[in-house]
Amino acid sequence: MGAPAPSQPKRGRRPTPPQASDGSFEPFHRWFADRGWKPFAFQTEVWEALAAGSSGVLHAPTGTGKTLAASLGAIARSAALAGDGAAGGLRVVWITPLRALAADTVRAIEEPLPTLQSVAAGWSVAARTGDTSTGDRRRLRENWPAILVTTPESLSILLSLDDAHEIFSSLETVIVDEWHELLSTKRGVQTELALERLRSLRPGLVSWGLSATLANLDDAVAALVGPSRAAAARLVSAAIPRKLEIETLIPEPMERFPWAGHMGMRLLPQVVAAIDRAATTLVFTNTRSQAERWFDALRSARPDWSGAMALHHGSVDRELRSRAEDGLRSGTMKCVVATSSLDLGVDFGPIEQVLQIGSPKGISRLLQRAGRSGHAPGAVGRLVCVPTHALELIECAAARGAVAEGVVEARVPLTAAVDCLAQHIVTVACSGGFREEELLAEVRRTRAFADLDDASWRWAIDFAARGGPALAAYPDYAKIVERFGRWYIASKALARRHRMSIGTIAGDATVEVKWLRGGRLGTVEESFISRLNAGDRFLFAGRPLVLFRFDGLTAWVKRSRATIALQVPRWNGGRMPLSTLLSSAVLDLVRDATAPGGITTAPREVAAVLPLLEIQSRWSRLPDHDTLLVETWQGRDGHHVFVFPFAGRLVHEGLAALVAWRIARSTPSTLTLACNDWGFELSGPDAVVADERAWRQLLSPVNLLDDLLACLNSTEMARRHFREIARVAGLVAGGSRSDRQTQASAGLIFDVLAEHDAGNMLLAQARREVLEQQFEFRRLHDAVEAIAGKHIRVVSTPRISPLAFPIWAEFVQSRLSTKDWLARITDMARDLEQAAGKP
Amino acid sequence: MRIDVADSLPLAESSADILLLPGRAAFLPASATLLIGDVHLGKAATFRRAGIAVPEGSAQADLARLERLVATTKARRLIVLGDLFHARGGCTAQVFDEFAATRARIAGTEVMLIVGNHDRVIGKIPPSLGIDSCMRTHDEPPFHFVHEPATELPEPGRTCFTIAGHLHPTVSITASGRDRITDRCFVAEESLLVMPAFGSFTGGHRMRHVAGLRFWIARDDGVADVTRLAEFSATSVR
Repeated sequence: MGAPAPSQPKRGRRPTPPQASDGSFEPFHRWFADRGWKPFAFQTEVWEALAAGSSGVLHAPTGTGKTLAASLGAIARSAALAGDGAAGGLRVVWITPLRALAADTVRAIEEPLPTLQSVAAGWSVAARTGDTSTGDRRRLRENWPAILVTTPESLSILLSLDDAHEIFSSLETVIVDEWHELLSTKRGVQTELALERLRSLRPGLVSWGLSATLANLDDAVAALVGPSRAAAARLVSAAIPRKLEIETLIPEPMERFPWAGHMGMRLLPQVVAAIDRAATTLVFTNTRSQAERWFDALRSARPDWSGAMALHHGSVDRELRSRAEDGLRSGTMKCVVATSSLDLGVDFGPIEQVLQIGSPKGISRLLQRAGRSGHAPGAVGRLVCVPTHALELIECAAARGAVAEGVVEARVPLTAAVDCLAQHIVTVACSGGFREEELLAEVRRTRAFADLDDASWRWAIDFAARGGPALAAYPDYAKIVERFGRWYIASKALARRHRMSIGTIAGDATVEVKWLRGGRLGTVEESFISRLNAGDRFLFAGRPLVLFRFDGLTAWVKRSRATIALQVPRWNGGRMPLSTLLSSAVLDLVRDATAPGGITTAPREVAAVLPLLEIQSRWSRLPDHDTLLVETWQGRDGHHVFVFPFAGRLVHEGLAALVAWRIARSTPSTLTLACNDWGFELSGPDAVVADERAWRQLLSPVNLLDDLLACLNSTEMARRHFREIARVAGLVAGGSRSDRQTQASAGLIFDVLAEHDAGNMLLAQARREVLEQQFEFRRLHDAVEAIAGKHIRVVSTPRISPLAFPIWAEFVQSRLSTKDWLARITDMARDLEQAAGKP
Repeated sequence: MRIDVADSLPLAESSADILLLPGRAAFLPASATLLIGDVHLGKAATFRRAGIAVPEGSAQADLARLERLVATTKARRLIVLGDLFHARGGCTAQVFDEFAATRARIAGTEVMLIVGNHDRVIGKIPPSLGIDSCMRTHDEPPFHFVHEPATELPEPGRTCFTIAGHLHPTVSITASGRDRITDRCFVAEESLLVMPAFGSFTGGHRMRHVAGLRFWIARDDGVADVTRLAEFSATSVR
């Protein structure tokens, strides 16, 4: 994370620690002193560790000066090594997760260099990412900078070059920025493999990860340096308490039958007032569609802000995004509406407050977003939660409580990603080849592949050499070939193709949105645009548009004068489930608030929803840690069962599918499923199982994995998920569009593999990843185990209870057209309010 | 033009003009002609040569299916509506040999190839393959056979029914709830039938539903008319 330069003096109250004996930190202190600052203890600690040749992880909140700790530390290490006599060349590789961050990172590292001539004479910084032009890449190759800022993909490409060992021959240090972001992803696995490769090329290499605080920092260390070196690695904490104020907007009057999306816009006047009181506000939403809606609503509410407002999400064109970022930096923006696209990034300076629309769903996300504000000298970070339905008020309170207690979630690194291994094997083969046993030993030094068995390794080598173990199935295929005990890439053309495929980013088929008169607006998913007809109006990049023509590659649009009846693109993904920590905290809050006298100590948010909880306990019962609540209700449209495991949306999707499948196995029936973060619903024309014993069996952990695989129609899901795996393993051609003869969809390749090479490990990986990513299998497993130890209470409710109502609303929403479901839910909520009587 | 789904044998006695068969083929009872399109032989080999590990097997399975179709329909003639081969790079000796072997096993059937855009880049088709005639279009009233339906329509004013390939049509239908099924299909309008791609290792192009179009999902084990479902899926809000 970038150095929040202006805030440094206010926090630098700690005594200056002793300098290194060789005095090499003296220029650093001078640079700090010139600005009236002093280094933090953690900064000098990292300098010392680096100078002494130790690796480790530095964890600190957003915007506390991690960049300066690492960049100056790397310079200190270089100075300490000066005896080696290596002059010039690449000294430091700085890995950043987003190429959009590279330019800012270069600037932040460069800043102190001019005054550090005594220790870093002639040092320069440059970036090499997917955005770097061919010309710039060539110039880089002729003259490497001392510090190279790059992405995991770009680093892998460098490692695949013939002369990789030359390029990295003077490398001393690798810094991995935002390590927590990479950690639980395949790019993290790719980074682990690349780091281990670099260590083989440069045995003395030192690596540091810069991370936000995580519950499992030990894993973060082990993944960065490899499990065998973890004991010797350092874990440095920047224990700077950042002042953070979190408040929640509470709607008046509070409705008792909440449903997602409904309440949010009712808070618009309060949101406008909150934005009005601050100079610059960053408004975060959880999805891109929400961002579009809120941007539109805010602009309609305050047309006078329109010049000082911007929309920022992953589908908006890069140029429009940078304009928003520049506006934030220069302080000319009143407000920017963003999604997680602005979660990361070097400091944006004068943001006074952050608004979070919808529950933050996780504590680490809340901290990350809150950390975007209050970087001005002496400022306090301020975050305002804007719940989109009443129950989210409890989630906001739970998140606030967790922040106060200092707890945060874990991020578990991935293991056994065969696709990454297959890609890495070819990468190394491109660059001078490898001996099998040496590369295997190297790969096993990473955390990701520490437990790699011989059979899997054998399979990966076979996959690269012959396509797969079924030799006859892959005639004429060889990506790598063995010569005198070493494996090499089979041809230069294959090496070129491989490099191209490393850089490609997977995603759903997207379509560019362009003005008819010229200029790009961004990209939307093809599935959305292909449902529109010419003349249809929609909202995108914060503008009302009308579709003029869609020619398969580009959606040509004009500005729409009418601003009503606009459709909003739905983008896949982006809906994060409520974290385990938060859902447990929600149950605590409910328990405490409804205990005798609890109302006096309950947080404001929870006090506001007490009437809702009161009806819940009257019509059904309150959820708690020791009981699984099951509600049954018969409506005009059929029988409904609501189950409340409090395990997050993804787990509930999996559980609902599992239960439906287990019911259908004994009694054929058609059930419809719906879920949210608190529970799930099954409904159908016939009565759904109602006794407790039967529910215990339906949710039993016995045969869990087999049943899940069987019920999820796993082939279809795995087929859809295969895209990313196919790309990483080089099964779908990346890059060049010109090569039409070898274009194929991942789905098609999946079918051919399933039919003709069923033992392909990439298929097994796809199934495993579907389970984990679609349904958080580990968490689902834990949830089922926990349920086995709980009481199950089945309650028949006279009407839909307040807790069940939002799930039912989701169910109706998924079945009816927009106009119909709005009317239906509004009617229903009114009826229920009447039935509940005056509070 | 009466298009029916073939459900029972013998096909030759059907009173329909065109019968749609399981296995992505069609049959013209009047002339005992079997129709297939877009086989793309050698596509997997093209991929492997480019360093993409696609297993062998799909082409062999397609050719075996073709042999079975010829045997069950007792077709006197086979018309391939273009793109029998995928690319020059994939036309290895093995690919040609496998086709020639299949050809030899259906020796009693005449084979006619309507040349497609992919076949053109192959260059001259070797005589050893046993293809009896190659042409760009073929007129045989009431039918007009062509590869690309849009570019080589019959002369205006002539009433004939075009049968074509090239598009690799697929259709998406929304089943109960949120499930969506996308599958290969036959698609027809007033005077045009477009065949699904016969080859298993071929992609698809999703047809948007327009009034007047008819769709049949074409699977190896059956054919199903989904015109109504496609209409419903196109109009329902998801």
